[in-house]
Amino acid sequence: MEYPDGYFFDLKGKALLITFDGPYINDKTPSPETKDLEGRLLQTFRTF
Amino acid sequence: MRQNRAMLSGEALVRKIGICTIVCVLLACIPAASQNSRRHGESCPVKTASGWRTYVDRLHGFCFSYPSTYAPVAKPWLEKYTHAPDKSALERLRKAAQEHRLLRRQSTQDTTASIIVSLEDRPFNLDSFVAGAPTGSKILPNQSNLARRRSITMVPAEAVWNIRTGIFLT
Repeated sequence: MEYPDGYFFDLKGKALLITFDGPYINDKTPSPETKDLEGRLLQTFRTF
Repeated sequence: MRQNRAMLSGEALVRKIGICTIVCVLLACIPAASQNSRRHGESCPVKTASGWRTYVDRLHGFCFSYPSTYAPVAKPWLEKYTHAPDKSALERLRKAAQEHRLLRRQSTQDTTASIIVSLEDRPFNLDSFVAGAPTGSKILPNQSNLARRRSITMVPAEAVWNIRTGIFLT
Protein backbone atom coordinates (compact mmCIF):
# COMPACT_ATOMS: atom_id res chain seq x y z
CA MET A 1 0.00 0.00 0.00
CA GLU A 2 1.34 3.42 -0.97
CA TYR A 3 0.33 6.73 0.51
CA PRO A 4 0.64 9.76 -1.75
CA ASP A 5 0.90 13.17 -0.10
CA GLY A 6 -2.29 15.16 -0.55
CA TYR A 7 -2.95 18.81 0.20
CA PHE A 8 -6.46 20.22 0.37
CA PHE A 9 -7.37 23.81 -0.28
CA ASP A 10 -10.69 25.59 0.11
CA LEU A 11 -11.01 27.19 -3.31
CA LYS A 12 -14.07 29.40 -3.27
CA GLY A 13 -16.02 26.84 -1.30
CA LYS A 14 -14.88 23.84 -3.36
CA ALA A 15 -12.20 21.34 -2.35
CA LEU A 16 -9.03 21.53 -4.42
CA LEU A 17 -6.69 18.59 -3.87
CA ILE A 18 -3.05 18.64 -4.92
CA THR A 19 -1.56 15.15 -4.77
CA PHE A 20 2.08 14.17 -4.99
CA ASP A 21 2.18 10.54 -6.03
CA GLY A 22 5.54 8.79 -5.86
CA PRO A 23 8.14 7.76 -6.49
CA TYR A 24 8.11 5.27 -3.63
CA ILE A 25 11.64 4.15 -2.88
CA ASN A 26 11.81 1.67 -0.03
CA ASP A 27 8.98 3.58 1.59
CA LYS A 28 5.20 3.85 1.54
CA THR A 29 5.33 7.62 1.12
CA PRO A 30 6.89 9.71 -1.67
CA SER A 31 10.65 10.11 -1.83
CA PRO A 32 12.50 12.91 0.00
CA GLU A 33 12.95 14.68 -3.37
CA THR A 34 9.19 14.73 -3.85
CA LYS A 35 8.66 15.96 -0.30
CA ASP A 36 11.10 18.78 -1.00
CA LEU A 37 9.24 19.57 -4.22
CA GLU A 38 5.91 19.70 -2.39
CA GLY A 39 6.81 22.72 -0.30
CA ARG A 40 8.43 24.54 -3.21
CA LEU A 41 5.46 23.96 -5.49
CA LEU A 42 2.87 24.89 -2.88
CA GLN A 43 4.68 28.14 -2.20
CA THR A 44 3.92 29.15 -5.78
CA PHE A 45 0.20 28.39 -5.43
CA ARG A 46 -1.94 31.50 -5.90
CA THR A 47 -5.63 32.24 -6.28
CA PHE A 48 -7.20 35.18 -8.04
CA MET B 1 -39.47 63.67 -53.44
CA ARG B 2 -38.00 66.23 -51.06
CA GLN B 3 -39.95 64.58 -48.19
CA ASN B 4 -38.55 61.17 -49.15
CA ARG B 5 -35.01 62.59 -49.22
CA ALA B 6 -35.55 64.13 -45.77
CA MET B 7 -36.81 60.78 -44.42
CA LEU B 8 -33.84 58.99 -45.92
CA SER B 9 -31.35 61.44 -44.40
CA GLY B 10 -33.16 61.05 -41.06
CA GLU B 11 -32.82 57.26 -41.25
CA ALA B 12 -29.16 57.63 -42.21
CA LEU B 13 -28.60 59.91 -39.24
CA VAL B 14 -30.22 57.43 -36.84
CA ARG B 15 -28.12 54.64 -38.34
CA LYS B 16 -24.93 56.72 -37.94
CA ILE B 17 -25.79 57.49 -34.32
CA GLY B 18 -26.40 53.80 -33.71
CA ILE B 19 -23.08 52.81 -35.23
CA CYS B 20 -21.25 55.53 -33.28
CA THR B 21 -22.87 54.31 -30.06
CA ILE B 22 -21.78 50.72 -30.71
CA VAL B 23 -18.22 51.82 -31.54
CA CYS B 24 -18.04 53.98 -28.41
CA VAL B 25 -19.28 51.12 -26.19
CA LEU B 26 -16.74 48.74 -27.72
CA LEU B 27 -13.91 51.24 -27.26
CA ALA B 28 -14.93 51.74 -23.65
CA CYS B 29 -14.94 47.97 -23.05
CA ILE B 30 -11.45 47.25 -24.42
CA PRO B 31 -9.45 48.99 -21.65
CA ALA B 32 -11.71 47.49 -18.97
CA ALA B 33 -11.21 44.01 -20.39
CA SER B 34 -7.44 44.35 -20.61
CA GLN B 35 -7.29 45.79 -17.09
CA ASN B 36 -9.34 42.86 -15.82
CA SER B 37 -7.02 40.42 -17.55
CA ARG B 38 -3.97 42.14 -16.07
CA ARG B 39 -5.50 42.07 -12.61
CA HIS B 40 -6.20 38.34 -12.88
CA GLY B 41 -2.76 37.52 -14.15
CA GLU B 42 -0.69 39.84 -12.01
CA SER B 43 0.28 37.18 -9.46
CA CYS B 44 0.86 34.51 -12.14
CA PRO B 45 3.42 33.43 -13.04
CA VAL B 46 5.13 33.75 -9.73
CA LYS B 47 8.90 33.90 -9.49
CA THR B 48 10.20 30.36 -9.51
CA ALA B 49 13.36 28.40 -10.04
CA SER B 50 14.55 28.29 -13.62
CA GLY B 51 13.20 25.41 -15.61
CA TRP B 52 9.79 25.65 -13.97
CA ARG B 53 6.51 26.14 -15.82
CA THR B 54 3.37 27.83 -14.59
CA TYR B 55 -0.10 26.39 -14.86
CA VAL B 56 -2.81 29.05 -14.84
CA ASP B 57 -6.48 28.09 -14.49
CA ARG B 58 -8.39 31.27 -15.33
CA LEU B 59 -11.70 29.42 -15.17
CA HIS B 60 -11.37 28.51 -11.49
CA GLY B 61 -8.92 31.24 -10.55
CA PHE B 62 -5.73 29.56 -9.38
CA CYS B 63 -2.21 28.95 -10.58
CA PHE B 64 0.98 27.22 -9.50
CA SER B 65 4.39 26.45 -10.89
CA TYR B 66 6.00 23.07 -11.30
CA PRO B 67 9.26 21.64 -12.64
CA SER B 68 9.40 21.32 -16.41
CA THR B 69 10.48 17.71 -15.91
CA TYR B 70 6.79 17.04 -15.22
CA ALA B 71 4.85 16.83 -18.49
CA PRO B 72 1.07 17.11 -18.98
CA VAL B 73 -0.85 13.86 -19.38
CA ALA B 74 -3.44 14.23 -22.15
CA LYS B 75 -6.01 11.81 -20.76
CA PRO B 76 -5.62 11.79 -16.97
CA TRP B 77 -8.87 9.88 -16.47
CA LEU B 78 -7.54 6.66 -18.03
CA GLU B 79 -7.60 3.59 -15.82
CA LYS B 80 -3.84 3.14 -15.95
CA TYR B 81 -3.52 6.42 -14.03
CA THR B 82 -6.61 6.44 -11.86
CA HIS B 83 -7.28 2.75 -11.18
CA ALA B 84 -10.96 3.73 -11.26
CA PRO B 85 -13.13 0.87 -9.98
CA ASP B 86 -15.76 1.00 -12.72
CA LYS B 87 -16.90 2.74 -15.88
CA SER B 88 -19.03 5.29 -14.06
CA ALA B 89 -16.00 6.38 -12.04
CA LEU B 90 -13.97 6.67 -15.25
CA GLU B 91 -16.75 8.74 -16.77
CA ARG B 92 -16.80 11.09 -13.77
CA LEU B 93 -13.03 11.52 -14.07
CA ARG B 94 -13.25 12.14 -17.80
CA LYS B 95 -15.93 14.78 -17.19
CA ALA B 96 -13.75 16.39 -14.52
CA ALA B 97 -10.80 16.53 -16.91
CA GLN B 98 -12.92 18.02 -19.67
CA GLU B 99 -14.16 20.66 -17.22
CA HIS B 100 -10.53 21.44 -16.28
CA ARG B 101 -11.10 20.04 -12.79
CA LEU B 102 -8.56 17.23 -13.15
CA LEU B 103 -5.03 17.48 -14.42
CA ARG B 104 -1.99 15.31 -14.14
CA ARG B 105 1.68 16.10 -14.62
CA GLN B 106 3.93 13.06 -14.88
CA SER B 107 7.65 13.04 -14.36
CA THR B 108 9.57 12.41 -17.56
CA GLN B 109 12.50 11.15 -15.49
CA ASP B 110 10.51 8.68 -13.41
CA THR B 111 7.04 7.74 -14.70
CA THR B 112 6.03 6.52 -11.25
CA ALA B 113 6.04 10.14 -10.03
CA SER B 114 3.08 12.41 -10.71
CA ILE B 115 1.44 15.59 -9.53
CA ILE B 116 -2.35 15.46 -9.68
CA VAL B 117 -4.63 18.43 -9.18
CA SER B 118 -8.34 17.83 -8.79
CA LEU B 119 -11.15 20.20 -7.98
CA GLU B 120 -14.08 18.49 -6.32
CA ASP B 121 -17.54 19.27 -7.60
CA ARG B 122 -18.88 19.54 -4.05
CA PRO B 123 -18.51 22.03 -1.20
CA PHE B 124 -15.30 22.06 0.84
CA ASN B 125 -15.95 20.16 4.05
CA LEU B 126 -13.19 18.88 6.34
CA ASP B 127 -15.44 16.21 7.84
CA SER B 128 -15.85 14.61 4.42
CA PHE B 129 -12.11 13.86 4.35
CA VAL B 130 -12.31 11.48 7.31
CA ALA B 131 -13.46 8.54 5.22
CA GLY B 132 -10.56 8.91 2.81
CA ALA B 133 -7.87 9.65 5.38
CA PRO B 134 -5.24 7.01 4.54
CA THR B 135 -3.59 7.18 7.92
CA GLY B 136 -6.81 6.31 9.66
CA SER B 137 -6.70 9.61 11.53
CA LYS B 138 -10.26 10.48 12.43
CA ILE B 139 -9.61 13.73 14.26
CA LEU B 140 -9.98 16.77 12.09
CA PRO B 141 -9.54 20.33 13.26
CA ASN B 142 -12.96 21.79 12.67
CA GLN B 143 -15.40 23.82 14.73
CA SER B 144 -17.03 20.85 16.45
CA ASN B 145 -13.68 19.32 17.39
CA LEU B 146 -12.57 22.68 18.69
CA ALA B 147 -15.53 22.72 21.02
CA ARG B 148 -14.53 19.34 22.41
CA ARG B 149 -10.74 19.63 22.28
CA ARG B 150 -9.19 22.96 23.06
CA SER B 151 -5.77 21.87 21.81
CA ILE B 152 -6.93 21.65 18.20
CA THR B 153 -6.39 24.73 16.12
CA MET B 154 -8.78 26.25 13.64
CA VAL B 155 -8.15 25.94 9.95
CA PRO B 156 -7.27 29.24 8.30
CA ALA B 157 -9.31 29.79 5.14
CA GLU B 158 -6.13 30.02 3.08
CA ALA B 159 -4.49 26.95 4.58
CA VAL B 160 -3.49 23.94 2.60
CA TRP B 161 -3.84 20.80 4.66
CA ASN B 162 -1.74 17.69 4.19
CA ILE B 163 -4.07 14.79 4.85
CA ARG B 164 -1.20 12.40 5.62
CA THR B 165 0.89 14.46 8.00
CA GLY B 166 -1.85 16.73 9.25
CA ILE B 167 0.42 19.74 8.67
CA PHE B 168 -1.04 23.02 7.49
CA LEU B 169 0.81 25.18 5.03
CA THR B 170 -0.27 28.80 4.81
